[in-house]
Amino acid sequence: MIYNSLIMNGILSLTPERMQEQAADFLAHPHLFLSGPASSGKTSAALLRLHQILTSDFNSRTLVLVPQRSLGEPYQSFLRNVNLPSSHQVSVQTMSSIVRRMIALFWPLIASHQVFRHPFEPPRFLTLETAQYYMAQIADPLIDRGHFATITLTRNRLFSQLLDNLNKSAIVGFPHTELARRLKSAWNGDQSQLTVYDDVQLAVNAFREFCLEHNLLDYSLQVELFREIVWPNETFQRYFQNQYQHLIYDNAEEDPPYVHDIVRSWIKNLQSSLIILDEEGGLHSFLGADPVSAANLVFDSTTHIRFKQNYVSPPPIKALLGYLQSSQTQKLPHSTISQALIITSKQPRFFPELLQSVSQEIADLILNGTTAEQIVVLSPFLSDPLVFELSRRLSKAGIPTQTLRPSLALKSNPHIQTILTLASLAHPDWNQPPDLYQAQFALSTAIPKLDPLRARLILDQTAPNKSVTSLPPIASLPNEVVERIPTEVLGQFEKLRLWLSSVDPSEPLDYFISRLFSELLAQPGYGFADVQEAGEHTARLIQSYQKFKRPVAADQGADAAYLGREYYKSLNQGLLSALYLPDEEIVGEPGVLIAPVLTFLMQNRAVEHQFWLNLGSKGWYERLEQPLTHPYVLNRQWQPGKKWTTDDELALGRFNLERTLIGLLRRCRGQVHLCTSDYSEAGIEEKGLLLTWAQNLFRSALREEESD
Amino acid sequence: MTELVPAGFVFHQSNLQAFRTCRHSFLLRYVRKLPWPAPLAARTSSFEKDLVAGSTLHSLIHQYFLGINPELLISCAANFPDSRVSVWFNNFLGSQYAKLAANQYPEHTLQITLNGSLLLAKFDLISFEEDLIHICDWKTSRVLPKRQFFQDRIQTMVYTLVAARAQSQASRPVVMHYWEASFPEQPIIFEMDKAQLLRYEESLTDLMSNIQSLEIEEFERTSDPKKCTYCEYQSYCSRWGTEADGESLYDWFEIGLSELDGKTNNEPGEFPGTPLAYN
Repeated sequence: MIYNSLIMNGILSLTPERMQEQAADFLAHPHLFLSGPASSGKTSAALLRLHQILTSDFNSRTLVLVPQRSLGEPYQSFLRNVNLPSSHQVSVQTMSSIVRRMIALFWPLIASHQVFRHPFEPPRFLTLETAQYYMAQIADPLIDRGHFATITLTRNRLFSQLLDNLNKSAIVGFPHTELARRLKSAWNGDQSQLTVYDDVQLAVNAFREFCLEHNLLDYSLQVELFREIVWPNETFQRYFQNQYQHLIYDNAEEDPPYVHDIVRSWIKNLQSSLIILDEEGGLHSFLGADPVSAANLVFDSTTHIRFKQNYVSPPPIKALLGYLQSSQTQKLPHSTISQALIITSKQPRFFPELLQSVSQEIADLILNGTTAEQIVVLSPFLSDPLVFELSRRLSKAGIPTQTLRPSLALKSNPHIQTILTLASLAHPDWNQPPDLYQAQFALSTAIPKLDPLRARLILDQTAPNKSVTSLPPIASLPNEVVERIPTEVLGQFEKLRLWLSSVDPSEPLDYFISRLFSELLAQPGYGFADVQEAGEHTARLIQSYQKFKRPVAADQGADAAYLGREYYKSLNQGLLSALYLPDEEIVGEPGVLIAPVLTFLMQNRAVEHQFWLNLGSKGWYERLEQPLTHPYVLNRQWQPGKKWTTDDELALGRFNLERTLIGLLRRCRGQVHLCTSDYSEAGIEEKGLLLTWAQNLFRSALREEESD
Repeated sequence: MTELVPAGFVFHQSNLQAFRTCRHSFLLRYVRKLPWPAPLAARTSSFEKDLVAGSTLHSLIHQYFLGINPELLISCAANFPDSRVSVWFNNFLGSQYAKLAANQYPEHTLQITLNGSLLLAKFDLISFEEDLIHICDWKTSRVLPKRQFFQDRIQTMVYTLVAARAQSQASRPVVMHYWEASFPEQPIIFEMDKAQLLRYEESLTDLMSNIQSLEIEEFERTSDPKKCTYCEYQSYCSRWGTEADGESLYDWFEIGLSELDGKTNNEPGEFPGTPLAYN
C-alpha cells in the first residue's frame, strides 16, 4: 500500500479512501477525469497517482499542469520531500510558461512563417508591464487626438484594459479584429460607448502592427503563435510527445479555453492523463477562466470519478454549506449558525476599534492553543493601512503575521524609493528631479543619523521650487545650518553628494544601482549597512530593471542613458507599478495570514479560523469597472448577439458571492468570524449583499426559534 | 544530518563548485536563496554580452538536434546582434559534433542517488552507444582553457559519474568532450574508465555528506579573497576591492549561463526558467 510508505508520511494525513486509491491507479484508469468540490481529496489523490508513476515507471516523464504557481505548491512540496531519483522527471508548469519557453525554443520555425517584419531577428518577449510601456506609445497619441474622450480612467488602467482585450481574443480563440464588433453587439446602453469600442479596435490593431514590426511578443501574440504555428508543427509535436508521457492537470477550471483545447488534442498521445476539476471553481472567470470548457474535457477521458467527501469542514459548517447549496427554504437552527459563524456581541462603531477586537480575538484563540498558521484574516481588498495596523497590533501581542497579496508597487518600498530618488539626483539629464519630500526621505534613509528635519534644512538651500535638482556642497551651507548637524553626519552627506555628482550618465542603471549599494549605502554608517532586507530589495530593483531592459534595449537609439531614463519615467507614471518579481509577495514569517479573499482561495489550503473583514463591501462580489472590455462577453460561453443587461450584472454578483462563500467555507476547519463595524474601513456605512445575507440568516433563525 | 540541507536537496555541478569555492556563498545562494546585488561593474563590460551569446549558441545547437532545418538556424544566427554567434554556429556545423545519429539527447537531464543524496546533471548533449557514453559540453571561452583546468572541475566529475550511474545497463566507459566554439579543432576530451569513475563516486559522496553534516557556522567564508571579486555576496561579506581572479569569473559565468538556460536554478518540479537568452 503506497500510502503507508514513509515517503508519503506527512503528505496525506488521512488514510486514502477507496475512491482515492482508484484515482491513483494510473494503469487501471489511464485517462481519468476527477471532479468534486474543494477539500474533497482530489489533489491528495493526484499526489498518490504521481507517487505511483514515479515508483513504477522510472523512465517516463510527467507534466503537472496548473493554472497558476500557487496551485502547484502541493506538488512541489511533495517532490521536495519524496527524495526519489526519478523526481526530476516531473515538471510543474503553467501553460503560459510552456507557451513562452516553446516559442523561444521553436522561434526558427515561427520565423519561417514570415509573420514578423524581421522574422529571423530574435523575439522580444514582453511582460505585462513592458507591454503597457509599448501600449502607451501607441495609445498616448490617440488619447491626445481625442480618442477615448468619454472614458474617465487613468492611462495605466486604460492601457491594461486594451491589452486585456487582446489577451481575451487569444485565449478564447477569435481574431483580435473582431473585438469591437463583439463588444458592440452586447452593449445595451448609451450609443456614445460604441465609438469607444471603435477606439479600442483602432488601438489594438495599431499595437499588434507595432509588435509585428518590432518582433515584440505580448502575451496575446505568444498564445496565438503557439496555438497556430508551434502546436500543429510536426517537429514540435515529435519533441513534445517525447517530453512527457503522463499528465496531471489540476484546477482545470481556472484556465482559459485555449489551454483546454491544447490538452484535449494531446490526451490521446499520452500514456496517462488525470484532469481535475473543482466543481465550484472558476474564481478567475474575470481573467478568462472557463469552467464550462474545462468540464467538457470529461468527454476526452475514459473514466470519470466524482468525489463528494468533505475532509475539512466540521458539522456546523457542513450544515451551512448544505443550506447555501439548497433553495434555502429549510431554515437552519440558530445554534448551528452560531457555531459556524461567530459575531461579536457588540459591534464596534469604527474600523480601528474593529481591528482592536479582531486582534484580541486572535490573541485569545492562540492563548487557547490554536496555532497562528491556522488563522487567516480576509478582506476583498487589502489596503496598506489595514495590513500595517493589524500586523502592528498582533506583533505587539507577540503574534507573527504573514501578508500575502498581489505584487506590491516597487515605489512603495522605502529602500527602493531611496535608490530611485538618489538615481534621479545623479542623473540631471533625466530631467525628472525628485520633490522636496522624496529627497528628504531618501537622505534620512541613506544616512540614518540625519533626521528628516535636518535633511530639510540642507535641502532648503537648493530647493526653492519644491523640486530638488542637486544637493548643496557643505561648504555652501550657512553656519546656522552647519551648527545644527553633527560633523560626522555632514561628512557622510558630503561623501554621498560627491559620489552622486561623479556618476557617469552613460553607466547602465543596474551597474549604477549595484555600485551605489556596495560603494556607499551598504558601507558602515549608511542606511543599508547590515540590513538584509535592503540588500534583497536592491537586488529585486536591479532584476526589475533588467527585465525592462531586455526587450526595450533593442529599440533604435536605446543606449544606457535612454534606458535608465525610460525606466525611471515608467515607474513614476505607474506603468511599471507591479514589477516585483514574485507573482505574489509573501511578507513575514509563517503566522496569522492576512490576505485578499481571492488570493487565499487560490492557495487551496484550509485553516481553522477565518476572520472576514469589510463585510459590507461590494468587493465581495462586484466586478471591477472595465469600460473598454468585458470578460463575460469576450467569452466562449457568451451567446453571440445577446445583450448584457442589468439583470445579468445582478445575477453575476449573486453568483460570485455564493461561489466565494462556498469556497471559503469549504476551506474552514473550525469557525468563521464575521467582523463588522458601523463605519467601514473607508469611513462610510456599507450594506453590501454579504452583510445583508448574514444579518438575514441570523434574524430568520432567531425568529424561527422564537416562533417555536 | 542538519536541517540546513534537507534530504531532498538536489546537488549539481554549480552548487558543488560554489561550495568548493566558498562555503558561505553556497549557504547564501543555494540554501537561503538570498537575492543580493551582484558587483556588476566588476564583471567587465563583456560579461553580460558573453552570457547572452553563449546561451544563444546553446539554443541553436539544441534546435539543430531537435531537427529544425539548419538553413533556418543559420539565418537566425546570422541575424543575431552579436556576430560571434554566427561564427560559432558555423564552426559547430563544420565540426564532427554536428553529426546526427540515433540515441542522441540534447539538453537532457539525469539524476542519481549517491549515498541517499540526489545528484543531478543536465547535459548539453548525451549520446549512448552500445559500449560507450559520450557527453558533449559546448563552451564559448575567449581564451582556450588548459586541459588541467577542466580535469579538476566538479563538472567533469558530476557529468561523467551521473551519466555512468544513471543507466541500468552495466557500467559503460564515459567520454566527456569539452568543445570550445572559438577553437573548434581543439576539443578537450576525457575518457573515464571504471576506476576513475569509482574515485569520482567516492569524492562526490564525501563532499555531499560533508555538506549535509555541517552546522551553520561551518559554512565559512573563503580564506582566499580573490574568490570574492565577482561574487554576488561580496558586499554582504564586506569584501570589496579584491584582486581579480580568472577562475572565479569563470565560475560566476558558468552559474549565470546555466541559470539563463534554466539548467540548475530549479528544485525538482519547480518552474523552469525560459531557456533562451533572448527572453
